[in-house]
Amino acid sequence: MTIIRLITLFLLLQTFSVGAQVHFETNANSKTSFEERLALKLEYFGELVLHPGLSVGLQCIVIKNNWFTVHWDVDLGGYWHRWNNKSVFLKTSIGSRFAMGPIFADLNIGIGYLHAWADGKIYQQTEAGGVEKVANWGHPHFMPNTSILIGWDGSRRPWTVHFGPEIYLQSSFNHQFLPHVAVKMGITYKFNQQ
Amino acid sequence: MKKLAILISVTLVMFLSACEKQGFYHGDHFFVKNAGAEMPVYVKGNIQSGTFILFLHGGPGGNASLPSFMPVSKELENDYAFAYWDQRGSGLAMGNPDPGTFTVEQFVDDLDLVVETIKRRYQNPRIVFYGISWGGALGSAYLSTSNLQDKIDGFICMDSGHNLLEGLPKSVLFVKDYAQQQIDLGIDVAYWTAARDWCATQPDMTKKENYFKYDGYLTNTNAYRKDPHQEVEGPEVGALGTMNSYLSLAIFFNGKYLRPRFNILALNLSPAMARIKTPTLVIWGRHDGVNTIEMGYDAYNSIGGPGFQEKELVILENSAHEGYIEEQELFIHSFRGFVDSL
Repeated sequence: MTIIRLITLFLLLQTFSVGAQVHFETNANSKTSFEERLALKLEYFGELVLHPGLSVGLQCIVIKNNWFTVHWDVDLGGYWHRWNNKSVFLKTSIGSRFAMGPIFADLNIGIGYLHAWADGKIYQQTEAGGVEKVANWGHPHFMPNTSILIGWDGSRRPWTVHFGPEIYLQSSFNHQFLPHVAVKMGITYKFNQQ
Repeated sequence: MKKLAILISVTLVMFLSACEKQGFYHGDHFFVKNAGAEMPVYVKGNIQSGTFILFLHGGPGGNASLPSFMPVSKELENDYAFAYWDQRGSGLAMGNPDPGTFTVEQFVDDLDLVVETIKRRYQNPRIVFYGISWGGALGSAYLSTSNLQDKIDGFICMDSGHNLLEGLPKSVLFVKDYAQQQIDLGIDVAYWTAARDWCATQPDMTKKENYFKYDGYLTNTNAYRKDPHQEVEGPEVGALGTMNSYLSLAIFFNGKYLRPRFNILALNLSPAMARIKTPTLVIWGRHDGVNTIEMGYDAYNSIGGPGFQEKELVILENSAHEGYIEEQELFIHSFRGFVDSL
């Protein structure tokens, strides 16, 4: 629990720090507009690899030089684990990108909200002793997450591709943090290439 | 642009292959919701037979979803429908049930909801309980409660933990004897000497700390499988199957919260089991070190009381706690013989 609190605190501090850095960088290089820092992401999000999902997101470049980039991402997505659950999530993360030529590695850490619904009809007892179908409202969960992505940033192209695993936790699930593994594969489209 | 097209194609293939996984999804499923838990029930096999085998898994804190991929289950599913229910706080069950709901009475109430839902969804089929270990205890508790047994057509009670108050001290003796055998063979003498000496103190097995210590020793014996090196047919679902079925990592993590909070160490259902008048097959491994053979006789004698005739005892002579895979053919033969006789 302490670790989770520390992670949350770290991410909040990171968020404030990112805000400050965006401001600093913008002032330092007025030629780089907010739009030029912004990119749109589209990903296959496969929970346990093969349970299909999609995620769309926005990525904002905070710091960038030839080999290192810090970016701040917000993602909205969902997946379907047949006969188990359907889930949607909204998450934010901070990423550090290390580039070697056109290849890059991305280390991301974030927090989010996950809402999971049982994938099937739900029955409960009636007061009369029978059973009835009930509405499926799902369950709210906290979703700390981390991912390691490998990508390719084609020179002079408006898009990059990436691929890699994400580990996230679903809390509280039977009073525990339930771990999940997902594979992400997607493209990032830069609105205005710098 | 060519690379982008390749990427999109790969993504599409992955997405479509993810959707194409009928192999692990034969049958039907639903969830039951009760007292903070949403519990899945997977129904497989011959639904048209009109006979539903309701599998009651062990533990507490085990699961039914993984055994739903056992070859022994698949074989029996040719004849009957099997309903695999993950109990609260176990397997793939969802929610955050309050620890106050971890009682035998609540589990019986959950089980009744599963029974009623099966009756509603499948037009009142015959229902036979098949409970292993804790599942056998749960079935016994259900059938001993008021007139709930009227809803059930048969009971297969396998290696059940229906009376841990008397059964656990017998299992401690099993560990002690096993420890002595290891010492005599010169195997890990220091460890087994400590185990033997601790067991010799006749620890109070209603205390949780003693139970967990004993359990640590027990898992290193052959209490569960007579020959730990025997090749058995386990669940037909590997890593790929886990990624491609309704299973999730929850089967490894659920139960960890439940187990230390659901205290059944003083459970003794033997007197109440005299009320059970449901036809019953008691099936036990001769070498079971978890719930020893004496408890098999106790279950047989307790069910329905001494005058009750509709019960049968089958002892698997070369099995311990996992007779359904240790002596699979004999188990299947006994299972079919009993259910077909109902």
